[in-house]
Amino acid sequence: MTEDHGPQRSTDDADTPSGGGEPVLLAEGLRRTLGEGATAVTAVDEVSLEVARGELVAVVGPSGSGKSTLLAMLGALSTPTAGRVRIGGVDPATLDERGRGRLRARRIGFVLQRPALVPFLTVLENVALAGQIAGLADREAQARAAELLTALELEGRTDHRPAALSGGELQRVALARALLNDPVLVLADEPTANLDAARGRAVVSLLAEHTRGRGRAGVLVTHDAAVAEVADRTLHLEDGRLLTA
Amino acid sequence: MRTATRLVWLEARRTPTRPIRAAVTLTVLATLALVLITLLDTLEQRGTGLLRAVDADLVVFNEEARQQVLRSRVPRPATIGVGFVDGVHEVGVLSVVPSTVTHDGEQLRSMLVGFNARTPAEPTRVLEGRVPTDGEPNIVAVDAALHRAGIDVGDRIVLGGSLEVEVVGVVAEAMFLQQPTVWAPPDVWARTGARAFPERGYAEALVGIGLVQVQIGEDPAEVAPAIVADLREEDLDVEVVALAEAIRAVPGASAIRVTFGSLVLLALVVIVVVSAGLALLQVDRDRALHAELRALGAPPGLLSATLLLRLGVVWLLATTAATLLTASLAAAVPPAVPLAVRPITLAATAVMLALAIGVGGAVGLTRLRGVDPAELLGGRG
Repeated sequence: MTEDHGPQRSTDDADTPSGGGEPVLLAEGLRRTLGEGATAVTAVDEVSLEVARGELVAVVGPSGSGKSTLLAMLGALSTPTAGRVRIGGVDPATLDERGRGRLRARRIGFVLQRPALVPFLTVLENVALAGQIAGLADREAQARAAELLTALELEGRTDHRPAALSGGELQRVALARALLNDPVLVLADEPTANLDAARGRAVVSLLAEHTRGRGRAGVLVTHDAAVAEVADRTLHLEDGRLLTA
Repeated sequence: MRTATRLVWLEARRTPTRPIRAAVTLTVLATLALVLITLLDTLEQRGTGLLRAVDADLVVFNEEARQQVLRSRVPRPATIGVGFVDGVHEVGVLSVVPSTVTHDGEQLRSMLVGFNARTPAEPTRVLEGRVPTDGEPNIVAVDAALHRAGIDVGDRIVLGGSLEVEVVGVVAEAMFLQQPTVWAPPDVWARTGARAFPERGYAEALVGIGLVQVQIGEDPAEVAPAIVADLREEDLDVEVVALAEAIRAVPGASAIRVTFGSLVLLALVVIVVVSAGLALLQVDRDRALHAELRALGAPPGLLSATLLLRLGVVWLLATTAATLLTASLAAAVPPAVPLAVRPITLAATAVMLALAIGVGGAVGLTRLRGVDPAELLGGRG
């Protein structure tokens, strides 16, 4: 059963700036139950966490421990069965579907395990798409995309299609796309799972650089202890519950 | 909408194989649907075209004819009386006899139709020339089916192997019992009919059926019993039915509908289900992309518009290709094959496929929205 979060707010409320001392990400008593009745499974149970400005937090745990389910709630992709999330001071549960979309577009950057880039768009167009969805003018989105791709050493690949890129390059494009709108929160779901150790470290370093260097917050879900070492804190998730905070 | 249109346009331009692959499958299904519907439609049109070619509300049969045009014999004086029944606007007579047409030494089977000009019995669509008027000697009009067989306005043809007449017009196809029709004034019809079946005593005094137009605002269902009652007073038992009912009673029409129609319907159900399934699969294939766009904050409208626009492109390609294929096939087969494509058939098939794809796409989209985002992110880890 979902908690009562009061009346839903309009789309533009997603842009309301966060309060001064509040952490970028605040989760309290999160629970997510999948299915109903006898087949119901609690994927995440009573998870609370805070991520401050400039902090990168790693969430580690075995496969099936609820990491992706937790990330979906933290990223306003799914609504908790119980508990609440605040992202930059905004509770996604108080927003309508369109408002949650705007919140994700402007405040959250996602990096997924298998980045699903649009296959018929070039690398530059793929990255710029995030800006266009967030409401940027085409020219501005493309300029920012080009800048980010250069920073990620992908300037020679801007006109290529995703199929022509290596796994590491794809992940860097996904990172560029996640950072395009300068989000306050970056959520990464196993971003190194398909990469070799060196390339994995490079991607995570870039993520850490963004969160620390630009005063943003990041949550990195991984099952790789070496990757988690880059983070400022590590949280262990098992059977949907946090073991260490 | 702008972003959705741009995405679909770029996909169609840069990777056309993907929409084309789906469109090819749908083209096969659409062509099959078009051919089957057209076969059924053409068979029915060629069986009942005679009655569809006139503009009447009611048909008067003599009771013993049991609604069969070829068997009906209503005396001409009785049909004149029908014109005085309350609610009747106009009445005409139509008589049909199986005959032959000989042209350039070639003999073709046909139906000879005797009709009153400028009455509800006159064919409504004249394609070329004119229709004969009552009393004109030795002239006829032919329908489009005979025109396709090479008979033109100004040609001379022989009816029933004995009476030479001149063709003065071509009317729209009005085949009856799968035979083309020749439209003649009543006296020309009576002479040919009398020669063909002298034992039946054909004469101008006997006609086949009466065709009645009711006055504007009158209900044909209320006028019909009045006609029956009026003719009963003259000791004539008749059956008066709506034109649509008379069309359904044409021999073979119901058999075509029931047997062939059932098979076509079954095939169409399969085609609709497969088309909807194809659309659903197309949406399902974009599951990962949908997850990524959703994570980027794409509004639900953008996701729906992108998926449905993409299906729209596939539909447009498939219906266009299927239309061209079916039209080419219809032009290539011999005229005897009942495959005459009508715009209404094309439109109905296009709408049917659009609905099937729309429903399949909508179901796919609903399923996609119902998927747990954690699963879309790459597992429930």
